[in-house]
Amino acid sequence: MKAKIFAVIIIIALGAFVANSAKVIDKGTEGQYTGVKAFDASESSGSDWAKISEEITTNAAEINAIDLNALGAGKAIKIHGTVSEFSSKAGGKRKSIIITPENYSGNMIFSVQLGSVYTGTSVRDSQTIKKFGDFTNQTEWSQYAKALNSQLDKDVVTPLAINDSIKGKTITVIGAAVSSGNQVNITPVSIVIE
Amino acid sequence: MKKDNSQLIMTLLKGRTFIVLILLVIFFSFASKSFLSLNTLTMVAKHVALYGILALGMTFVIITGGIDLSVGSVVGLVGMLAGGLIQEGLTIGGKTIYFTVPAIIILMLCIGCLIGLVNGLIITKLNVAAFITTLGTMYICRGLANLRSGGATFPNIGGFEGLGNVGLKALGANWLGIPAGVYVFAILSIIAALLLNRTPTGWHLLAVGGNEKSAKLSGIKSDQVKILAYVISGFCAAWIGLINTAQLSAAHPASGDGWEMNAIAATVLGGTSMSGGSGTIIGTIVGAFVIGVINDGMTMCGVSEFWQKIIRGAVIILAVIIDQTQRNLQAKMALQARNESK
Repeated sequence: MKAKIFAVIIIIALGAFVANSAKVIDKGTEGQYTGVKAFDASESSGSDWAKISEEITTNAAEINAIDLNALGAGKAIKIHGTVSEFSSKAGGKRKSIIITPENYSGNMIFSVQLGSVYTGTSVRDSQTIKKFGDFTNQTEWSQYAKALNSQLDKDVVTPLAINDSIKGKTITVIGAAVSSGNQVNITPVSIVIE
Repeated sequence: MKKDNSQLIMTLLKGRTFIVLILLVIFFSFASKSFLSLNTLTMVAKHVALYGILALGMTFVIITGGIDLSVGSVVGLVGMLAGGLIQEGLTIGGKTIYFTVPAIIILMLCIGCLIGLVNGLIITKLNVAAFITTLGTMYICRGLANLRSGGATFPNIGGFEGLGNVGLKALGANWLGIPAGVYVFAILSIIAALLLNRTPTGWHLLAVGGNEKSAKLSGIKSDQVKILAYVISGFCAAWIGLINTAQLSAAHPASGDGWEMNAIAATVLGGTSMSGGSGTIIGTIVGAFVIGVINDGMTMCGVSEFWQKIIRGAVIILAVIIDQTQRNLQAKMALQARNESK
């Protein structure tokens, strides 16, 4: 009996200590206490976008000049050709076009994703302005890639309002590419429709 | 003469783990020139403390004839919960609560005890085998650890002055040149030894492990004793969760993965019988040193991780075989002594 009373007193004392030693603050106001500003991926990508776009454009390689099976996590490329196919899936959230390039004799298929939802991190991975080490953790690095994709959708793709009528037109696309099987998937940073 | 030989063999068998430890230290000090340096010994002590504290808890469980496979996952879960509380706090509604480090330590130790309590209750009240119960909680705790952060690491457990939650790193630091974990190991070892050898609870633990039916008939509440063993094991695992997080300065959900095996190995090497009823804290401490010296010594000698696993496995089997031989010899000597007295 004595042991049980002792145990209850200990538990109450510990509970009181824990409760009294807590600091309660309003959610989201941590910055006032820590001096640390919460990471804003869109702010970061917005300020970097011009430099990243310029870097990818400058480094873009012609498709005949590189090994299309070894694009790695992302490689800046330039493609010029005719739009042979337009597709819109997931209620218009996953639009893409297939380009038949000029002066290309290989068997690769070139697909350009036109959002509004983008897959992959090829734009982030083909630039050198920001490195993984510039971020606190993997989550921020991942958020940064998504923010870059949103940025290019806003600045590059949405203003062109591309739809089915693009089929047959001549187009020049500069972007970050990755390959999968015999398909090259391009995320655009520049699109010029002639 | 024959009796003298048997007694000599018996003495050697009883002190086998300590003899092995000395031989290992001699071997590795020749195999690796820097093994006996202060830095290496500090590192070994740091690792021994981790295995040792887990093994202390495991000793109580194995003495009662049970097993606790969940301790490694408890290490991971406690680390993640502590890391999360420091980095993100506890959000309820529109408010976020940040606890001080002492409060977090208390909360985490309570969580370790709670997991042990759940293990103990399932094993004793629902009659589920200890192996299965703790295997289940092992997976549950690992899953919860991953769920806490979506599998990511909490990279900053330093806390913030403004939030009043700095200080956990002290558990991973050196105090007077000795890792803090070693002090915790020493204190817990003394408490565990006193509990096991000098209190009725300790005798009850040994009695329940030796013969549960007889213990029950003697008036010992065997269920309570077994539950207590698992609570102690959870408590020790929680300490390791905190110390390991402090040492790494980060919390990762995979922390402690497979550590239960090191704890079991140290306990068995220390002479605790897997069938329960016998075991000592000093034996477990020596067992933890053997495991620590083997692990770090082999790493320093450049033995690959694959071979390390094979050697560790072989050492455990050998320890159990020697333990069995010792018991057979003991029984034989007791029989011989009885016959002689007749």
